Amino acid sequence: MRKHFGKVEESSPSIPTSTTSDIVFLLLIFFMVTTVFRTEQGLRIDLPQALSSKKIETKNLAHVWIGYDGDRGVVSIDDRIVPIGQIKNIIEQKKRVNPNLIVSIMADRNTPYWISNDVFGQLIKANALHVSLTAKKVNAIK
Amino acid sequence: MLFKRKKKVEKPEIPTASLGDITFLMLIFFLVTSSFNTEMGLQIVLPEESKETITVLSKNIVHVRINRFGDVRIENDPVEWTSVADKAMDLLKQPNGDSLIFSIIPTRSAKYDYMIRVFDQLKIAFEKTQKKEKISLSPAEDDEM
Repeated sequence: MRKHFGKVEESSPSIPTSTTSDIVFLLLIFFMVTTVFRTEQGLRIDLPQALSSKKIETKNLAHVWIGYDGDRGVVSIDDRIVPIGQIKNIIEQKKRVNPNLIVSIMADRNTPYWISNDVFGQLIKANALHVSLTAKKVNAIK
Repeated sequence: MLFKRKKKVEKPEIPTASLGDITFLMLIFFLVTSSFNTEMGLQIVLPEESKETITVLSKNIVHVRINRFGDVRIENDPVEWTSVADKAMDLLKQPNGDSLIFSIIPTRSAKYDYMIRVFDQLKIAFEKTQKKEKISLSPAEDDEM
């Protein structure tokens, strides 16, 4: 069989390269705009500061936000305000999904201690004993 | 008046072909340097809920009490909170320092911040003396009247 067909001579086409920078730039802008840094909003809190604050692995974290409203404690998990008495059940459920769960306490520095005390009590009941008290890393105390 | 005839200047051109590479490098640079919310915190392991209580020699427990004004007392000795680390280090260097357990006991209406800063100080003390960290968070006490 004849393999060779008559080839048509073509001039090599050139792609205009002057606009690639615009395209890449648009890509940059697109990714900057669409990146979601954290889906969880939590509560508006002012974190405490600590010198010995260490980096924690974000992989196994469950956040518990603790704030206050007057004399009342406000606790938020997964962007839902939950009564303190229900924390045990929620954390137990999370612990079943991920046995290596670390609970990250994001508490406002001005919350009365009893609120976090009650939260710790709930965590102990849920057997979630690995806890990280989130604090901003500072290099000097004021 | 005499006008000089303007010299014809050739329009200089900037090469634009490599601009794409530059922006691409910028993209890579920002991707690499942007840190995705690193969390900083103080780690603690809470005590297990157990029926039987662990007996610890009471002389090995150092009670660190914090009242609602943020005043700190180590075994009833008033201590400025900024010097808790130094005080704890002195205690840890004692002969029985290895078996000491620090127990933080805030009152119910003490601020969370007061507990954190004392906890922070104790952590520093353990870090500096390179001893195994033994800090416990005790249930809150009622405020003294």
